[in-house]
Amino acid sequence: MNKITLYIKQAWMMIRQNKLFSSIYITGTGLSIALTMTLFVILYIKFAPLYPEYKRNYTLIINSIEKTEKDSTSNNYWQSTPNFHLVNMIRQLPSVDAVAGIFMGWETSPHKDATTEYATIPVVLKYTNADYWKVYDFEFIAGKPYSDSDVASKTKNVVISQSCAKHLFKTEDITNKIINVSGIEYKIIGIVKDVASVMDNKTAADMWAPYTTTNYTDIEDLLGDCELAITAKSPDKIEIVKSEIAEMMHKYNQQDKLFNYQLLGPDTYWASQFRFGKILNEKDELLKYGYILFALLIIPALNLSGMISSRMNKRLPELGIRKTYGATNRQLLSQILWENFLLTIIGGLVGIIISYVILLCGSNWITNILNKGFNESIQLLSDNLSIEMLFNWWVFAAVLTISFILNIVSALIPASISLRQTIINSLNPKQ
Amino acid sequence: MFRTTLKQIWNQRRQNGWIFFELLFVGIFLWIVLDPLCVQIANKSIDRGYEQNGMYVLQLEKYSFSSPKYSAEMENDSLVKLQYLDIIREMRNIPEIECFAVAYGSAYANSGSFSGGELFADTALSKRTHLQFYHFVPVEGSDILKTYRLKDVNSGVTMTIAPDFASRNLIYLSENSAKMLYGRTDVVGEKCYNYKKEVQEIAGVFKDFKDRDYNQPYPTIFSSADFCKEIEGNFFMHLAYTFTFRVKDDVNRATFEKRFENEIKPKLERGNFYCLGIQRFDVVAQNMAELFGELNSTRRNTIFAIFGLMCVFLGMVGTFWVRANARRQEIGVMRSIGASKWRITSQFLTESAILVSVAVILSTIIMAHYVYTNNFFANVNMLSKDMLNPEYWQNNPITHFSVISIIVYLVLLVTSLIGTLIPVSRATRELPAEALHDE
Repeated sequence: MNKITLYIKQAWMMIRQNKLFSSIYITGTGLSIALTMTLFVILYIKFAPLYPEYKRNYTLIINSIEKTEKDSTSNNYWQSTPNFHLVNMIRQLPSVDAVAGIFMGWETSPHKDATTEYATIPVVLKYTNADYWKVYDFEFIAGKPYSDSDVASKTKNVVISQSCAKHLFKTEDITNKIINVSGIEYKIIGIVKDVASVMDNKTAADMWAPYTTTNYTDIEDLLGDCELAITAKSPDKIEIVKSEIAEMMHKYNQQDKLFNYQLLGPDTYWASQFRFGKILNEKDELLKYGYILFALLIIPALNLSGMISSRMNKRLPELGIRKTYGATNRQLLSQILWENFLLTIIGGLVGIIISYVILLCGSNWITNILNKGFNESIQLLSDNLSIEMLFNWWVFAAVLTISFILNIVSALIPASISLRQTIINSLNPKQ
Repeated sequence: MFRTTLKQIWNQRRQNGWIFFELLFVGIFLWIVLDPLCVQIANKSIDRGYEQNGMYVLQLEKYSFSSPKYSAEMENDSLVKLQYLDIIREMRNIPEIECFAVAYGSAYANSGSFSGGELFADTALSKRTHLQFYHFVPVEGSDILKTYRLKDVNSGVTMTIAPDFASRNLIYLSENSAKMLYGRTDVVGEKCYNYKKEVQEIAGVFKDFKDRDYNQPYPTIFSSADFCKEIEGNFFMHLAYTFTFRVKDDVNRATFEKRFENEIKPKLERGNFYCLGIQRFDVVAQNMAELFGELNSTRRNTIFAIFGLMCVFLGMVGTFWVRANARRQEIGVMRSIGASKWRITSQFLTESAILVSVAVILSTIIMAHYVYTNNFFANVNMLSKDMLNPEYWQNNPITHFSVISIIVYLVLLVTSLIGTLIPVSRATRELPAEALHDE
């Protein structure tokens, strides 16, 4: 039997002997792990590549544009979402792979009523261009997306989600069927796998249709009512795309006699999550997450250290005997850390269960909990969270690392202090 | 006993150090999370100044250009005005409705919209205050004061709009606006001015009014400016005006809502206008609190506060459990020479209370520095510090600091004492002979 197995066996015996201590220790660790894991899952949903936004790492976002008059005496200033004219301009750039334009105008809210012969239900309908299906990797269960020619010809084709299909039809073969959305008839040409409600507002929807079927305005100005998601031809071309867009805007401003246009972006996807209008202060926001993580770890670590310190005092005679028979401080420290690690792992498992309870109970608000401003939650027909958000190796690895750090931080110092005692003092701690 | 306890704490300094540092950290942590939570609760508990129960907002929409129901012929300005007025009349005649108000824009409580401006008490424009404007349209019996049941600041009577309100360009001010401008509230008949020095007469002063449930009352003015004395017909008029109403007190809300959905809603279709439904004011308030992050910060701070307190509780239980076990013999000796259970328990509780008190004193000193550099003012919705109402404890820096510090201390003390009491009372239950057996 190797040493580690022996240590773990011994630790298991100690857990059984000191039930109150073990349960307090496990609950304390579990509490810390639960909140840490919840924090990681929220961050994972916010930043990691998830269905259908697998290209988040090399997606650029433009949500706003500013317009000012060239006349220096004028203070007139406009800020708005860009328009589809800008989408088409950026599409021409050599390093750009695709540009999704998502209509954010009047017709996008509130929920629309979708009607079939079987049911009428409220749905969220997004109006987009055809590149949308290149930028985002939707999984088509049946049919296909609408094309550039569908968009250009204002064809009333629609793609719907799996849940939407289940709610609206009783049969499975529903492509080419007609659906009435708030009085307008659309032909279903594709069914995609559900998008979780907590996803970015550019992809969270029950239905998607060409933006040309709305009352969008196609004017030769860059201000309008759409948001842009741009993918580069490869991840390493992100900076090139940014410089190409800057150069394009520079040329556009030189040609325009009356106005100057300035994009609020393009931001990398993760940076775009921290933009509030003109302000992009991602460092401060990341620091805020750092403080929270620090508090979630340091408080329980002190707690656990205190308990370990008290327990070490009780175990001093045992350590003294082992030292007498030749055990080194290093061996004893390793044993204590392993024993502790077993408790931390059990606490970690408890924490994971608690975090799932928190995430599932608060699934409609938990992902917004760290936002300071406007929190728009879209309720779709699909589930709020998906399996890949809750069960993924990155989060588990992070939790395991946190457990390990917590274990080291909370056990190392008190154990080292206790092991500094001489054999005589250890054997008779009451002296 | 106190001296013995202090000695005991010093002798156990190595073990006490950990729990002390934890208490110190949690003290700071709790201060940071409880401060916004307490201010939020205090702001929310301030009287709204109006009766939210029984109030509704009508949700009107228009068919879009792409809708087959859209009719271009119905879309001329005079026609849409008639259609809108017809909807108002249809609503006014509903027997369950007591009164209504046609607001200009989204001027209704918790709408999220804010129309601000300045008002002056003299023509020199020296005495001024910033206010929130509630513009409303006095048509077809629209009465915003009656609908909100605003109370006269002096008599406490529910106010109604004066019949010559629009023609005489009268205004109604909130109590805090009157105080900001004149330093008193008996200002009916006084003249005040806008930035163009146009004169307006004060027709009444109502008790402070809260536009948003989670905010403090902001100086408010109810007026009907030139641009909203009459309804103006245009394509976006369903967004330019909002119809709010109150149902009679004896009306069963659930029954009314059902009847509205089934019977009244379909009848409200006029031209390109159609009705989406009605929304209770409390639901509007809830939605706004969700949208603007107020509920989020409440949840976040509550979760963090519970986390901190649970850590302290577990820490106290753990530390004192181990300590009480280690001192079993001592407890046994004390019990055998006649010490009561309470005498022993109180010694441990005193130890715990001293630790908490010293940790809170230190964390309060640290927080005093923090508050000095990041002032409290950031927590409230006022434009300037002079607009803060000193009657609210959260607006006075010293009271604010003291209240939060006391709350932190009490919460931490109670949690720690409970955490100490559980293991210690368990240890004292043991018979002296058994405890001394180990000795």
